[in-house]
Amino acid sequence: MDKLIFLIPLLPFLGFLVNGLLGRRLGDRAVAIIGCASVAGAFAISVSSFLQVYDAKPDTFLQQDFGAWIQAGDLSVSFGLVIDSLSGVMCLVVTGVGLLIHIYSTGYMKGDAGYYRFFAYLNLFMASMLVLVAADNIVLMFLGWEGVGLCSYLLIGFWYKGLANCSAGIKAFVVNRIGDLGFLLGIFAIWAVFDSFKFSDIVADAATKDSSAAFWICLLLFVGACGKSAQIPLYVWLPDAMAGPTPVSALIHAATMVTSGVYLLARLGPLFDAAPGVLTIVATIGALTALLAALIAFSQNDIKKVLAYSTVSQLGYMFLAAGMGAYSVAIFHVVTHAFFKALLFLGAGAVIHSLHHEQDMRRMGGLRRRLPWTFALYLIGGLALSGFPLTAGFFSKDEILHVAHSGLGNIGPRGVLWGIGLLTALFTAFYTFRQIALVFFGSYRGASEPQASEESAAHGLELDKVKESPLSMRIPLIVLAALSLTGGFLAIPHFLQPGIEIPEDGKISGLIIGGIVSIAGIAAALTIYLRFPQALKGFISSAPGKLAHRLSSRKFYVDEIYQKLIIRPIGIMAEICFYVVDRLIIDILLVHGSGFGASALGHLLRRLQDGRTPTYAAWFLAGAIVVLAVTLWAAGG
Amino acid sequence: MDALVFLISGILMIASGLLVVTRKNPVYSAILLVVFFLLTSLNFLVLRSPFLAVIQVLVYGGAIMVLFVFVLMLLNLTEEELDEKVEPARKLLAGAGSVLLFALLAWAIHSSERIQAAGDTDLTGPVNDSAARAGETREIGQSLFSEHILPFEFTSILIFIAIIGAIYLTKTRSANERRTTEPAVEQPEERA
Amino acid sequence: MTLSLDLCLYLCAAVFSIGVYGVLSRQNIIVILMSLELMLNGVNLAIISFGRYFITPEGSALSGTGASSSQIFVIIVLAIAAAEAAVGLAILLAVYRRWRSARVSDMRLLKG
Repeated sequence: MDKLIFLIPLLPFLGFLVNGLLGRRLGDRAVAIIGCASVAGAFAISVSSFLQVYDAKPDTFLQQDFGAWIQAGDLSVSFGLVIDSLSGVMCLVVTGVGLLIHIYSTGYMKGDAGYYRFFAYLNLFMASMLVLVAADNIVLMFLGWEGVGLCSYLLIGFWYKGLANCSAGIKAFVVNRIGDLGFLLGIFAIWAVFDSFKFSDIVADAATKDSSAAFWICLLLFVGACGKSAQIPLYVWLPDAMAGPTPVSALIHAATMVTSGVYLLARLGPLFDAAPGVLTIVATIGALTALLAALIAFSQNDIKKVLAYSTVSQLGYMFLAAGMGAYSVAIFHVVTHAFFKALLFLGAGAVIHSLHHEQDMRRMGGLRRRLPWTFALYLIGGLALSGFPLTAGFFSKDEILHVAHSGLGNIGPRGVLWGIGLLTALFTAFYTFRQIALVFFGSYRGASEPQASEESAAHGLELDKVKESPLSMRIPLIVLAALSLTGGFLAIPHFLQPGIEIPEDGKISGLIIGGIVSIAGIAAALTIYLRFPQALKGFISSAPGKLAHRLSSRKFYVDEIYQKLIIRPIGIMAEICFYVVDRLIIDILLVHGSGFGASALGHLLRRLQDGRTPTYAAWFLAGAIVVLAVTLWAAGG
Repeated sequence: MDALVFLISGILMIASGLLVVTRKNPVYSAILLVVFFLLTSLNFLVLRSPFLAVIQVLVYGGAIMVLFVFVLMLLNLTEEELDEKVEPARKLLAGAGSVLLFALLAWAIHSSERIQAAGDTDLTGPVNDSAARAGETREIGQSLFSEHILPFEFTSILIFIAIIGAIYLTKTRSANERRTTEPAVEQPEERA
Repeated sequence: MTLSLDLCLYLCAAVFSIGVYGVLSRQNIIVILMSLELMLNGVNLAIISFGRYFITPEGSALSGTGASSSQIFVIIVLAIAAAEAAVGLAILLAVYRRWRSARVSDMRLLKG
């Protein structure tokens, strides 16, 4: 079996080639089969590989090396894949959730003109993501890293006819580029310090190196992780990325790609352990991101935007855990989050699909009777996200809070971080059930409510025309719901970090506090939105409420601040460069100048050539005199 | 005595040369050129080159001059055609250029270490024993047909080509031929 | 009175420069060709002078060639001068036939 792991990324890549090159001729059905089958194959191999790793002793891994990929002087990058416990878990999640989302997409994208294109991109994404996860060195990982970035860009702008979609794609690409710069610099620094790109070498030597070197390397890598995993200050692209089709949001922007930053930290865990300063930064940024995104999620009206901010918030949780040195806990949350967030996104997609591409929650409501399946499944996802006791999110989130409270390492302001985490848990439960209340409870507002925003399609669909989505979309939801309910019982941290020492004391009380907070948030949201909507309106219209609401709904003006502080100055610089450097110096002086100079010189010189032989003879003599004079002068005569 | 001959003949060379280039009528120029060639031949004699002196008279003073005079006669330029209408400024410029060239050449001769190393060596004085017969016909002949046979043959080819070229250029084509082969050539703008 | 090498060379330079003056200042092609002959004679005289110097006891050490080399050189220059005169005069005849002019300024086809 260990000879087959190269097929894990290769199968989706072949699917991409076939779908991308021949998809137009093959027809939608064949495209869907190829797309799903390639991922299913990768999933099967992942499962068997994982079982092999799981059965064996700790610290075993499957490895396959395909020789040198880049060779230049001392520098050599091999094309090698490795499946150990960490990448095995990630491969399982990526291929498993990916497979479900592929199946879902066959129903969701039905009839779209770019059907084959969509599956080609999706398969390319799977291939890149699996290279990222299974790479045995950081340069190969960077290949996958850039590959998923590219696919993210392509899929956000999938409906490329809408300007907003395209600019969202570009925004994601550009913001990621900032992070990638940090990542690249980190790779260079790793080469300078470790003389190797292999994760095994880096991890083995991490403790022996200078701590300041480790600090800078980790800081740079964390910048890369921030970009990809949407942390402060680079999170702004993720909410806009919801412009893409919903399965894309579920797969790329919730379950897999955005967690690759966490995966990077976990992969290089010992290196980060050698840089406690960076870990403090990671934990702090994670906690702040979690809180900020939760606050923004309060007032969003787009069903997917709420989930997007929720994703940013949950990613913050993961970084909080990673910052505590509990990488396995972070990965645990990555896994459970992949389950319930994919479930939520796909559920939201089902709602959107049923409402004919209506995304505004103000035009929903009361859908639980018309969409009972979707409602039930969405509710499970919401409970898991809120951390309702015994769901997947409950265990992973409380593990994080527990680690933050009493856990590992010697990270600075642990009490504050724990407090922020707990507060965010409360907010999470609140905004999740605010959303459920708005979408599924109350009365239907789709037909009557006037057009809420410019982007949403003005269908004015009647409630009795709202239908459940097809079976191909429902089955993945059921599987994901089952995983969301039971995923918490997987003892992933103990599997990934066998030696991890999470103190047992306080664990039970932590779980109880987490459960209470979750239930409190859920209860508060349901009470306010279902029983006392007038009180809420009254609060919003009061002065402090107005301010809070505006801050939250305008996303704390972060986009505006970036616009003013970064984009405007860069724009002005670009204008200066354009007008001064490009127009004046290059165009006018160099391009036109050289042309004009040559022709002016030509006009001057053509007078020398009047066609008269005596003139030529005279110039001949002049030349002879000059040469003679110069020669004599040079000879020192 | 030889040196004195050389000096006088040299001064006369300069004088006749100046007259050659300044006479308006090319016939005078041609006659003065013959004088110049004869004076040069005399100087060759002084410099122990008797063979060349004879050749100078035969080839330059004879063949080439006959060619010149023959062409002059052939063209038979009128008085008006002989008036060259050269602007004084141009003459001045040409004179300045020539003087400058002479000055530079003189400077070069003056500053050349190897020429100055010759110092006062008398070119009319005794010669090296090994070169006692240099310049004589026999010596030149032997050298020309053994040591320098290759340049000699090349020169003969050159002359052959020149003969063909001269014949081709001067051959009068029939009217019939001219019509078909000669392209329309731009007429000169100003015709004296 | 002695005849020194540089004296000969000054004479050659003077003759050559006179030839140059003739080439530049005259319009009549025949005279220009004569001036060219003047220049060639100046050069010939210079070669002979050097050759003469190289067979003196003082100068023989500097000579890299046989005693008659300068003579051969002049013979070749002479042959080329003859060829040049022949071709030059032939061109003159052709030009005169074409344009009825022996003025060098009338030949301005070199202008593109």
